[in-house]
Amino acid sequence: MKKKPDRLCVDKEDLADFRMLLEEKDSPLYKRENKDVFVMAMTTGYKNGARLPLKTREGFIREEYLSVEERSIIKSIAIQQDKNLSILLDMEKVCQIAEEYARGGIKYLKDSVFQKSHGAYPKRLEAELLDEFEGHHMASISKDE
Amino acid sequence: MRFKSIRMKNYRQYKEVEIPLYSRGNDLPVTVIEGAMGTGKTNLLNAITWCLYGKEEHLSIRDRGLPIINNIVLSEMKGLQSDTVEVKLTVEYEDGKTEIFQRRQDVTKPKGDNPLIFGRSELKVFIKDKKDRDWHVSEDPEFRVDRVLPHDIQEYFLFDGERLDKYFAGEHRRGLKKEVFEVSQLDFFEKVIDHLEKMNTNYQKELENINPKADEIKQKLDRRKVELQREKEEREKIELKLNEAKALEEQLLDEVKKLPISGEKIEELKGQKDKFERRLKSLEDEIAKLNQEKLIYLVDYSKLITTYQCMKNTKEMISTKVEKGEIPPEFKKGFIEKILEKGICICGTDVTEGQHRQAVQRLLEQCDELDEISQELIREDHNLLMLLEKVRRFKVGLERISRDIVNRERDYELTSTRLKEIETQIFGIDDEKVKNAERRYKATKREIESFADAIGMKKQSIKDLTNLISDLEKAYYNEVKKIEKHDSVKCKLEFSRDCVNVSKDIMVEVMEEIRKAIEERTKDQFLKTIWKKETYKDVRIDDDYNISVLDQNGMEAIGTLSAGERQFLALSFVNALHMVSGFKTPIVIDTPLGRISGVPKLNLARGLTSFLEGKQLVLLVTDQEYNPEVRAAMGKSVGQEYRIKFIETENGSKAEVASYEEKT
Amino acid sequence: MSEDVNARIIKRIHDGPYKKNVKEFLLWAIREELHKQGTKWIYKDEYNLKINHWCDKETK
Repeated sequence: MKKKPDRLCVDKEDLADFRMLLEEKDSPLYKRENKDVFVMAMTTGYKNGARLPLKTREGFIREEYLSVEERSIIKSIAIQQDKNLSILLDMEKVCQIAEEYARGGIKYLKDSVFQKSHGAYPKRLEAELLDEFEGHHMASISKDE
Repeated sequence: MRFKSIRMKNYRQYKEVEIPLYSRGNDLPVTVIEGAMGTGKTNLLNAITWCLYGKEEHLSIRDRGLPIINNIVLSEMKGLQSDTVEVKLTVEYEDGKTEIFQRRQDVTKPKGDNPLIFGRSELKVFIKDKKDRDWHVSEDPEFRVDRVLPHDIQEYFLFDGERLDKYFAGEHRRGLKKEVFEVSQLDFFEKVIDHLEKMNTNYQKELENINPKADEIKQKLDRRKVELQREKEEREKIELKLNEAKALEEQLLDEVKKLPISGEKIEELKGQKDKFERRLKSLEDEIAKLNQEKLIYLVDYSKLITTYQCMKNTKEMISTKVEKGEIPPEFKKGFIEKILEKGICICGTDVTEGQHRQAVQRLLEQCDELDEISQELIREDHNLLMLLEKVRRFKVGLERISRDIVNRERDYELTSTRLKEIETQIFGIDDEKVKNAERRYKATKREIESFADAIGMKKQSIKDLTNLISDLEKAYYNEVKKIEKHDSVKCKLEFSRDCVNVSKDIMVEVMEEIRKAIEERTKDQFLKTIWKKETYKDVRIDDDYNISVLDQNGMEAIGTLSAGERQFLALSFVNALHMVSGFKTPIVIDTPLGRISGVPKLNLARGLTSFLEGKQLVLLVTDQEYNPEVRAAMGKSVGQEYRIKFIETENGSKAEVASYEEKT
Repeated sequence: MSEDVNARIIKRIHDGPYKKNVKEFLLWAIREELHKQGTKWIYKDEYNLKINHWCDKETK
């Protein structure tokens, strides 16, 4: 089993965008941590099917800072990408997938947060999440669980 | 005594009018003269006062601007022509004596547009005793007027009914005691006392320089008397100020009552406004905080919801493996590799080669790569279960936060509305003006209290000085007794002192008797005839002639009397005064029923006639006052009835008086 | 003085516990004031005369 990397990276080009989401008062991630913006960018990228390889790697978060929840999400994304549980044997690969989705998602995230045309971001976010929640019947318990 | 008739020539509206006010054949004491407003009714009253005193005491604002001479006569006068204004009042006495009071004034119209020239008005009094045939002219007409009705008290006999309640108003109250004194004609007796005191002073002067001790006491006595006089004068001044302050207090209270809102209420509203503003701020902060909390909630959930299916699928994959028994593996790959490496099984069998080794190798081949991460997968299975559970609770949690926000926002709306209501109440109110008005009112009240206190102190000081003077006088007379000579002067001195003291005692007693008599009579009249018999229990008049009306609970009710009731009280008081005064002079009332309507009006009309007791009563009424019901109520006492007819011509106007029954 | 008040005063003088000479003098003074009202008179001489007359008379 390959050793897992000690940090997750973003592309140097995207650093400004990540920082903006952390530093702008209007941003929902204002004064949050790097990992918060990374994970959110990653899940946004995953939702939109946007995955981009990194050109210039820039260390962004330490792996050890990730919570159990965040790790589970990252692993799930990787597993579903590969459709194989074995991908967990290659944590480098797992992290790479996460980084690439984060890269793909950051632009989407930034645009979504700062665009004014469809109302305030929190309201849009709430509507989207409820839509998805209802749409996938997430409130009901399935036999498997 | 009766007013027999009044004759007016060229006097205001009355060009040539004679009104019999009483006839021997008809002994009923009431004469009614009815006239609409502006026809000259009140000028009949003015004619009487002008005749007796040379003054028109009740002149209207309009008439003040017009000359006393009738305008038709004036218009007919040419340049430098004169004519005379004349009023004659004939008075008849029980003993058959008749007096005619005649006042005349010449008026000359100058040439051109120059103002009229008024001569001095002249009063003459013609007297005829019963047995006389001829009239003789009084040498002292003013004295004769004084015998009929002294000017100082005429307003208790010839008055405007609508202004009767000035008796209870501040300015008038001050003089009431003094006026009762005058109506009672105790001034004669006061003259006796005054003369005696002067004689006393003269005798004291004669005894000066004889007994030094007596002189010393006398000097002290004189100083104290001066001091007493000063205290009395100061008290009067303070009483004047007190009455002015009371009048101002009434006016300020009126202003305060008209204020849209009280100062206290303004402060209360301001307090509420501040409270609501603070509450709004606090709610704003809470709403902002909750919105932030909600955003964090959504942001945290977004990653879970977005990857829900992903996590669910992953869990399913793991669960399938678990169900199939693939994880956890029966044995670990590492364990098998170790066996092969060591070449010996845990059972001790040699597995370095041969079929045992092959068997172990086959086991190794069966091992899944997942074996290495099976523990991890089992952990992930559990983690994912927790995460999916968490997602399930998303909506409940969101609803809870949203509800909190909605509640706060509703609270904010309500508070905002309430704040707007308060701001509307406060808007446009000049709270400085309100506060100033209230401040002035309170300051005036305090001033009144301090004046009342000062008067109290003066009263005490006057009492103390009076006692001191009395002691000094006793001491003085004791010293005087020791003087061996001048017995005659001593005797006169003592005697005159005794007379003064007795007179003063009698004066006080009689004044008290009069006060009680007036009080009793006023109460009797008022309670007997007032229409609300159950409401009022007592009427009191104190030493200063302040009148109180007590209700059934013994509480002061004078402030709650209606206009009609006050008028009635005033009439009762006037009647009591007449009884005491002994004056037989008739009463003339202008508009006695003007302020009252309905049943009280009828009661008052009936009550008026009970005031008479042998006196003549002349009533000057409007057509509205003297309606058929009132006429019927008074019918039994009315001897003469007249109506004033007002006639306008191109040269001016005049009033004529005709019998009431004549067609107009 | 009004008859009514006059009567009250006179009654008090008559009925009061005063010395006889005082009563007599006061009754005289009241009558005199009423009689002389409106006229000019020099009260001092007449008062002095009467005071002189009454001051040492029988008091009972």
